[in-house]
Amino acid sequence: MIKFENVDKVYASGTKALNKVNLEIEQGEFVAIIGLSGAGKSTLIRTVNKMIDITAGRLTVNGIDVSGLKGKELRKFRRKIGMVFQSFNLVMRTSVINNVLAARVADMSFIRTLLGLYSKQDKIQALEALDKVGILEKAYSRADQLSGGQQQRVALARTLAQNPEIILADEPVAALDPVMADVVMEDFKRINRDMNITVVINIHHVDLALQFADRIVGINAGKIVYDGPTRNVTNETLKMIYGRELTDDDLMKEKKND
Amino acid sequence: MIDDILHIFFPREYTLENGKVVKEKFNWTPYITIAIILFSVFCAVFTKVDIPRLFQRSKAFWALIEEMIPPNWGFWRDMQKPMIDTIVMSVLGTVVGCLIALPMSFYLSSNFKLNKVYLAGHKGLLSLLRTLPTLVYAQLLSIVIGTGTLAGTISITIFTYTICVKMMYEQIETVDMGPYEALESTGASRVKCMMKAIYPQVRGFFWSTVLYCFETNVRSAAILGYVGAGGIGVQINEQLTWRRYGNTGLMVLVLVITVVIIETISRELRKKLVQG
Amino acid sequence: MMTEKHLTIESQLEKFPSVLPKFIIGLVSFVVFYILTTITISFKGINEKGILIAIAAFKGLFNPSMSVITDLGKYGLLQMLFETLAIAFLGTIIGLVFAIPLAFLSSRNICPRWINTICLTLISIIRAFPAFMLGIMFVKSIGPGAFAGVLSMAIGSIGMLSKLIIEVIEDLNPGIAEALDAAGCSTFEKIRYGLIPQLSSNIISIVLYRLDINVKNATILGIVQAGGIGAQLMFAINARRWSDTGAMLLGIIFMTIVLEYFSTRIRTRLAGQKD
Repeated sequence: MIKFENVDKVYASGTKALNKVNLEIEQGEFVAIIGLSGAGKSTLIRTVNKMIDITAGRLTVNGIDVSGLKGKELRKFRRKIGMVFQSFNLVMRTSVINNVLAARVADMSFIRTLLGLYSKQDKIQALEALDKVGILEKAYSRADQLSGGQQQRVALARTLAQNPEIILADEPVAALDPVMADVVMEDFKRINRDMNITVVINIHHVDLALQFADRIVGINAGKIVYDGPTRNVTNETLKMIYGRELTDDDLMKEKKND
Repeated sequence: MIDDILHIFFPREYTLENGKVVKEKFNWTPYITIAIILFSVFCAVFTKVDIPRLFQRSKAFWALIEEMIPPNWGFWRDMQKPMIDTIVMSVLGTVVGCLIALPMSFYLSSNFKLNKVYLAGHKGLLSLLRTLPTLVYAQLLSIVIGTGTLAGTISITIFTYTICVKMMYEQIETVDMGPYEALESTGASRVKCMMKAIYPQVRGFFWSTVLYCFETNVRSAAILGYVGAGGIGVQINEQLTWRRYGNTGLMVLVLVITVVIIETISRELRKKLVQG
Repeated sequence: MMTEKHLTIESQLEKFPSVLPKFIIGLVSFVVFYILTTITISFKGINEKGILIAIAAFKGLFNPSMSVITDLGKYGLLQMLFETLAIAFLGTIIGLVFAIPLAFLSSRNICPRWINTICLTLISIIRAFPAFMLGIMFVKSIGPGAFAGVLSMAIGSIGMLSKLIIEVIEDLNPGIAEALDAAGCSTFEKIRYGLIPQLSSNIISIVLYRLDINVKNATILGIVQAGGIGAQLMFAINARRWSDTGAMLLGIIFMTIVLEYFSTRIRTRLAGQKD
């Protein structure tokens, strides 16, 4: 369980990115965080694995106080939390399998990492992860030869290869076309359902959030303005979260009734 | 005519029909050209450039070349060892220098937010060391640790280190930090993140730098023998003093062929590395 | 598509590249490396004298001799540095004078193929010829001194300068020359208005780059009596006059860094202009 209690984040520049955030996410939930860009979505997600440190309040993940973690403990904690990025963050000049295996090095000895000696167990785990996102046949291709959608699925496989309990995804489909975005979101959904992994996803596109998530958290200027099941979200709620009418930019696909 | 010459130096003003005055842009080029010519003449006087003398003595230059041809093939047996020494010194110096430079370049690149004051100091010291040629290190070292190939190898190592580390940290500063962030989020330590997220991005560049350093080093290693730091230079110096130009000719020929072979191979390999 | 569907984790696992070849390459290179080291490197161990010398040298380097620095005579630091600079500068300029026509003759878009081949061969011979040998040969034929240094530096620069200029020429935009051709310009006019404006900033960058290298190379010409600060530096080191050595090394470092600074600044400005 991820639990935010009165969490604040003020950047060194003075920007207040999170303002008294209270949020509880149970294991196995699929939560979409929506809001304008700059509303604090990205900050919120990155505090969970302490890629960004909070400045006030209390943040616990499965009972562990995150802001108290340092060095080795922090690294051990992060192993259970996967992260997927908007720009995929793959090493383009190496093979897909090497990218996925990179998620295993946290558990490996220094010498094994240096020499690239992955155990059979690690290799199987990496291939299984690729199989789960449906691109097993691309294992030995170079990452830069894949399409954007396939690259994001490699990134997802990399995350799966670390056996996470939680997956944090920061705008994972923003760089993809609508068809690929759907496929990748399906992958997230399936993983969430089959493996009982918590998925917390930042998403700018309201339609995708409503289609795939079980729960919507709306954030505006660092404050949570809506938190509830997807089915309760109305046009009024969206207007409140965005502070304006929705535009085409907020949707991945063209409006159906157009 | 005079007007045209003046025009080069002083921009003209034109008055258009509507009364507007258009001024040409001031152009530094002629002034700089003249300054360069004057400076060249001054340098020529200072270095006692003497063209008639060059023509008078050019016969001696060609005579020297004629004496080197044909090379004395019999000398091959005596020059084998120093020639191999020269190449081995370059190989060892290059490999050791670059292998030390690789981890240090990660440490020195500004992406990883390490101690800034230390970084500036280390980088400054490196650029001071880089200004000194290998030969100066070789001579200092041959006095401190004694003449021989070790002094030469260490001086090549130092020189290679200063060059390689700079090229590498500048390259590392341009890489995509995304994969690094991704690996950091999996809980891998900083060193592991560098190995698995940054190194694959600069691997090709690193090996191409190694080859480049090797090329440079083979060229500069030949002269190290002049200060007693081992290699073919010792022999070249001796044979020239004894005026055995046939022997010198052979050594020059072997050096030229070696450099050409190494350059050709290295160029092809580097092309592949840049693509891959 | 059918085969892809039959892919299993087991079959993909078998395709995992083995580390064995890499391991063997690593091992073999290590052994080769070790053997090379043992046949070439002889180390007698640092004796106490060596350590004392190192300490003395270190102290001297940080106490540069003021008399060398302030001496304005022939063996004073300033004159020696200037001589070094002059050799490098003149060498670069003369090298450029030869390199430009050679580069045009070697460019595929300017001259026929057979001329290219002849000139490129000439360039690679010049490039491969050891620079210090040129120095020695000039010293032997026209006598020791800075003039020999200038000549060897000039010839030594031709190779790299022309190689880099060829690249620039081969990247030229042919449209401009064609337009001038169509306007009925003479060959001279084509070069003046079609080529020079396109080439000049690139060539200046190349020349500055080579000047940097030449200043560094000029410091060691002295070893073969071809002028510059090198000869005095070597004497000072051999005679273990460490504070003189320190003064000269500081001079070299200072001169190289100042030059490098300005040449980098000018080059970045030129590169900026082009875009």
